[in-house]
Amino acid sequence: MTITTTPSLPRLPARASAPRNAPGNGPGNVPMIAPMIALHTPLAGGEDADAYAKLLADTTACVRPTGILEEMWLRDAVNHYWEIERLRRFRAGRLAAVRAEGMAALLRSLGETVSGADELGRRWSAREITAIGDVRDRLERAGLDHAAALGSAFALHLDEFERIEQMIASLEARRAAALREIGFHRADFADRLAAATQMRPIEEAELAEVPPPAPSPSEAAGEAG
Amino acid sequence: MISRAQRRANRDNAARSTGPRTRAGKTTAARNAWRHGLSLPVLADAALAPEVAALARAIAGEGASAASRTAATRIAEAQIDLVRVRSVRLAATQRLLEGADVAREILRLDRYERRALFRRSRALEAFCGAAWDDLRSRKAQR
Repeated sequence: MTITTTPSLPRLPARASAPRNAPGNGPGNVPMIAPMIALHTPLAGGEDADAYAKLLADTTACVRPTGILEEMWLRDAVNHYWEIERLRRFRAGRLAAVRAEGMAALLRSLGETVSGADELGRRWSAREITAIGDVRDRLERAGLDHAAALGSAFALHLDEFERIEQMIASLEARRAAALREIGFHRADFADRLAAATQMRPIEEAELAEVPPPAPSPSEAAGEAG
Repeated sequence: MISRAQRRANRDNAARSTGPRTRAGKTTAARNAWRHGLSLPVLADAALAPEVAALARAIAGEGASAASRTAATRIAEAQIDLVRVRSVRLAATQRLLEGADVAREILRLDRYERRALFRRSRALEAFCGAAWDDLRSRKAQR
């Protein structure tokens, strides 16, 4: 059986690329590109512009785009990565912010009064040592752990988290589509770009349970008394 | 609580209204339904035309055929559209991070981005074809 392949497409943007030795266009530097595209960065207020610039420069150094089309694709991939990371941080932050509500709901289901559950949930969320110990005892007696409180918080704000998930899924789909499109034109470039902007697992690290601080001698004495 | 006479006068006045009359009033009213302008083509904004032209020139390069230049212009238009959509999305994301409930609004912007990406993808295919033809014709000339 003979397999025929279509001839590879010409190396498109080579003729359109800025000279390799142009100022600021060397390996490791941010590429030269049309002003409006260059000026658009996905930085929201308070985000680290240096970190974004470093990500862009590192990715550029890693994949070495040749020409303006590859620079456009590169920026797409970097910006998608940046936005997905931001939304994942936002999701983790929101879950941490509403965990008191989740814990209060869980405590109510275990028989605590509404006001008592709200108060204990608030103090637990504020990481008060006595509240942490109290909550741990109650959960242990019911065969539960802190994950149940996070699950409860998630369920209470399901609509909100679902929309965040949709936004993340949408960005991930676009990132995958962008890499597919690049792969269609330049397979090797797409592979390098995919590797350079690979997603890191951040949620697990952000949601890891932190052990409560050891009580100070005066607090320990107070509890004992 | 307004009086009955005042309400009647208001209704009479409103019934006589035929909309804004001054140029400034008409300009304001014309933008009543304006939200973000993303459904308008990029070239509707005269300020962006030079940006599109510059990007298209950079993509097509020197000595490109008319077909390549046309395809490069389509790529540039789609790319600038993408930047517009992403700028609007970034502003909405900023509000989201500040606690506003704008997630639905952000998701609604998706279709504009998908549309621009689709147009860029199609334009890239056309550009590939044109670039391929350019290459063949140059080889034939040699």
